[in-house]
Amino acid sequence: MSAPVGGVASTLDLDDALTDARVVVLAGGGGVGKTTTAAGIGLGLARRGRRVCVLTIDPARRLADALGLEGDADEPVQVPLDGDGGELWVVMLDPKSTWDGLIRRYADSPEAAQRVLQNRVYKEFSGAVAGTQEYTAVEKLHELLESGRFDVVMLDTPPTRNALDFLDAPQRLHAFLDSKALQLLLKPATGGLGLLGKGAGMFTSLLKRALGVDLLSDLMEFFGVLGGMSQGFGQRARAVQALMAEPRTVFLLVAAPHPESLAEAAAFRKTLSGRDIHYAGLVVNRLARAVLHEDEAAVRDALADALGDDDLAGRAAGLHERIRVQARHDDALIAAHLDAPGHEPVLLVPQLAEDVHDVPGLDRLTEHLFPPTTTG
Amino acid sequence: MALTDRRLLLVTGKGGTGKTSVAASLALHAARRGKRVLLAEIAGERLSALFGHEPVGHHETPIEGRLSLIAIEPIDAAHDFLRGQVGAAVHRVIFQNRLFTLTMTAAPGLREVSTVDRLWDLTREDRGRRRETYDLVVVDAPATGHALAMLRSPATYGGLARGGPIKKRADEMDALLKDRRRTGVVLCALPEETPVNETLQTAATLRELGVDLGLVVLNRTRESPLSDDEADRVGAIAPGAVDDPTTDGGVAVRVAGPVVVEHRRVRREEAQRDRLRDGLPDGVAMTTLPLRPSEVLREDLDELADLLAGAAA
Repeated sequence: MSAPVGGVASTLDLDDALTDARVVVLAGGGGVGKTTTAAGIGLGLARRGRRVCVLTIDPARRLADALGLEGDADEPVQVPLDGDGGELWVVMLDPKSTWDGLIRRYADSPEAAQRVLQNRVYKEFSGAVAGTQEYTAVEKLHELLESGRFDVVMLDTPPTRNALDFLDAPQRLHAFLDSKALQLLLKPATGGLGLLGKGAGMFTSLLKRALGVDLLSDLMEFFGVLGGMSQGFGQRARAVQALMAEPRTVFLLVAAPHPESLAEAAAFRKTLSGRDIHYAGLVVNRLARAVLHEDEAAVRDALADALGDDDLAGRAAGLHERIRVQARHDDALIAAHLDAPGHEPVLLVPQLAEDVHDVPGLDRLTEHLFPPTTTG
Repeated sequence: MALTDRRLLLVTGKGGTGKTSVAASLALHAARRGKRVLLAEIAGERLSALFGHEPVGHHETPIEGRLSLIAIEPIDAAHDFLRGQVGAAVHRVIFQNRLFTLTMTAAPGLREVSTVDRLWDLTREDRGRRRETYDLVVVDAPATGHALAMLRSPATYGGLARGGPIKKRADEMDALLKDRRRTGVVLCALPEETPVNETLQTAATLRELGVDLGLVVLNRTRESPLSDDEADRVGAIAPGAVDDPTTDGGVAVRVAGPVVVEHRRVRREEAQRDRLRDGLPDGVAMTTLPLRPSEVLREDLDELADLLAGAAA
């Protein structure tokens, strides 16, 4: 096992955890370095000879540039790697085009597809940020696996309040399209909300009043065509569910050493119990690096000896003391998190000297994600 | 126009940038200056715990001094909104069923527009004798993407509805959001690449929407007491230790790596801070809040309020 960063030691060995993985799902809140971690693990696996595709949602610009992701490329782009080994590909999720593809695939006819694509409600719905990303992410994942071009697909999930939202997205969409109420609402095409009985006239007129006539008719059409695709979505939902439950689909959680981020991790772990999915452990990024057991005076004296400059030694020791406080805090937070019931393997990644924005930078990160095994 | 002299402040930013602390501190600052302030959060409730109060739910609740809290639940807000449109009795019969839930899921922006409708009501200058009137409503808004959807929703909704009472109300809400004397957005950011990019992008989007960006709060900034040359001298104690945190050796050798890593991190973050400052439209104020070693608690809010006071004036 690798040396501890501070007082808490890493217990998660990714080489071990991902040996047979075909899908690696990374979950976690926003701003915890999930995309970079996904790319780092992807590179590590590629260096071990596998063909890897990283599906990402919204990479940092410089990382995206370095990896060759241009604009809204919906197709995998290969990252040039020197030396032998596997392949690293990256693809950025474009929810709108994934949705359009779905509509084309499941619609009864090209005309029906065209009607949905032009529908105002659909345009709002598919372009909206909230909610639909989760669905399109698993959809795209499925498509990449089916292509047979990759040994491993890494999914960098959209940051959501509930880390597992995206897992249920296909099922939710299917339940929504399949519901009785929707079927009733759809009847007006054949004469009626008549099924609702006497209230129907009042209902439509109220709905018209509340929503506006145009919105109502667009909604009806939207539901009408989507409802017709219910079977296709249903099959997809079951396929995705089966995929997520496969032993070769591995979940990792990524967190930052902040209370909210670790609280999210704890909530995630809780949601996981009782679900048929394979959770490998928690990656905590950007841990403060410091020498934990030397106080400011000891550090100042040692630096003064080494530098021959008391003033500089004093200021450098002050800086070290600040990160030492931070590192102790990080340590205590993670220790408290690990104290909670249930075994959670954890991989601690220290703060790096430079941001990761090119392949050499990613290689340096990969060294921390896959630390060389030392004896003893 | 001073930030806290407006009626509605929407505090947003990427997840984890400190929106909640900033919103709470701004509200506290205004309340201490004698304003009646309502602090609102949306879809979830964390503020009551921060203030050591029982959960308040979807109800305006005075918690200390002139400060009140509310946790707006978009679904409840949507029921209120539609009840207002069709009358309570009819609403009860028609909308308490799955059809309504369906409509809620699919009707673009209904949750958002209902939330804005609630805010519009809370900011009114005359809410009648039985309800509290506030000088200022501070909103701990959802993360940026969702917050922008909220700001767009009245126009979207009004456009889809075209006529009728909803159109009229949507126009009033839109006017409130676009009136810089009444409404301002406060954007929280961190001095890192992606958050800075997103902040600059959001600033541009707000400008397109015609919503005033009142303040950018750059959170968790840090400083280094060393010059770059001095950091190099410290680094020279242990060449190669910067990328390898596991080096053995004496105290000075083990300390050198972490000190250099931290110094470089500070410099990188300063560069991001400058990039943010330079990239913001002219006239947009920006302030910084220093990194704190631990999470923000109630007793820290007063100090944060002091730090924000200058920028809020």
